Amino acid sequence: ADAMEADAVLRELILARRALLEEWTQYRAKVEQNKELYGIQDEVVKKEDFEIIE
Amino acid sequence: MRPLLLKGHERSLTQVKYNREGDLIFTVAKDKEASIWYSFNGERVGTFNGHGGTIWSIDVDQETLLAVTGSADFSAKLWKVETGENVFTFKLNTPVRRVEFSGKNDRLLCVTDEVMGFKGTISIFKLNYNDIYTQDSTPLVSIETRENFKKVSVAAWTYNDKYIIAGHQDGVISKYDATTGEFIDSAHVHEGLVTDLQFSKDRTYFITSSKDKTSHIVDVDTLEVLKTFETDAPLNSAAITPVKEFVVLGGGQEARDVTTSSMAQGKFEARFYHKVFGDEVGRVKGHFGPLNYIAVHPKGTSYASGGEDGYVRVHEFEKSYFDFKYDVEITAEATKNSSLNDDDDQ
Repeated sequence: ADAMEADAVLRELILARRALLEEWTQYRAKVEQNKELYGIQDEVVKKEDFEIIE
Repeated sequence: MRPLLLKGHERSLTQVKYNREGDLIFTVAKDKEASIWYSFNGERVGTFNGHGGTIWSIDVDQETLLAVTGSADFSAKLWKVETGENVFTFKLNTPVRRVEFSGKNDRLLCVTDEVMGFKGTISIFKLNYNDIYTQDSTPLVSIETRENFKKVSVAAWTYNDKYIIAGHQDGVISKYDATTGEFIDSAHVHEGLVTDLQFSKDRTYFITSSKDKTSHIVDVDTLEVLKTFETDAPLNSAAITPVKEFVVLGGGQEARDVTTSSMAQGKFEARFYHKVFGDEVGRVKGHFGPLNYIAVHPKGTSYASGGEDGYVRVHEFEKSYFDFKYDVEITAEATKNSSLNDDDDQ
């Protein structure tokens, strides 16, 4: 029963995180769509742009 | 992380900034001297000398041509970065708490204190880059603190230099038209002094920190609180990291509230939180007093913290930092990539 309970808690956590990520992605997509309206210049920084210390 | 310790200031740090390229770090402290350092090795490149009081704030323009400092000596000074020459001094009525260049480098914002019968004001000056020695000392716009508002502690430019967002002593955030100075909106987001306000890369949202031990991510257009980060210590600064979805918070108990026997009590750590999920993901120790300011490298490869202990610590992020991901993030990325591949196949 404990294992099942732990599984249920984990599942809830994953679902909550998924919902938060979805909500944030939608928020950012809205801004991205209106980029010209905002007058934003493309300043996305990518991981590939720099060297990472091993 | 391998920290660089920048030793040079005699007193507490008040602000730390990277330039746009991230190769230089600009620091100011209560010791009346601003410093410039190489971010990759911590070597001091030079200093700006000329203020007669604590320097509360510093900023550097997009081209690293001019820097500006705001001081308790009632002035904001423009400096030529290459030579350290003071090219112009804006004289104000009260101590200058915050300075910031607009994104287009055409205007300068100065926040002045509400003291000696003067109202706290956000003054916006036009910048003349054709002749840097000749500036107009009359502000284009002066935004006086409104009747029912407490004094402004911090202020900054939004996307496209369209609005100015200000943080107040009582936890209120207010928004103004940057051209006319007209008041647009406000929201009561904190229960204490707003100590810092830093923007996302595209300047459409910002993060606040407060003495009420919380930090919020707020949308510029709606002033809606999007995320909240709760801590157990008063916060002095908050920054948003590019590349990774993190925020970094810094602060700590005031020295008078901490016993000498336990440094842990002071909570003098930089705290990393996941920006979307709100979970604390890490802490970095090192300072012997509260962290007064946190700045993140424009490419997200390092961060610098300025402490009450007089030191600046620069921490470069290692591979494990960039590799860290929640399972849901990995799944979301995989789903996105697979749908992109499907689109390519069609």
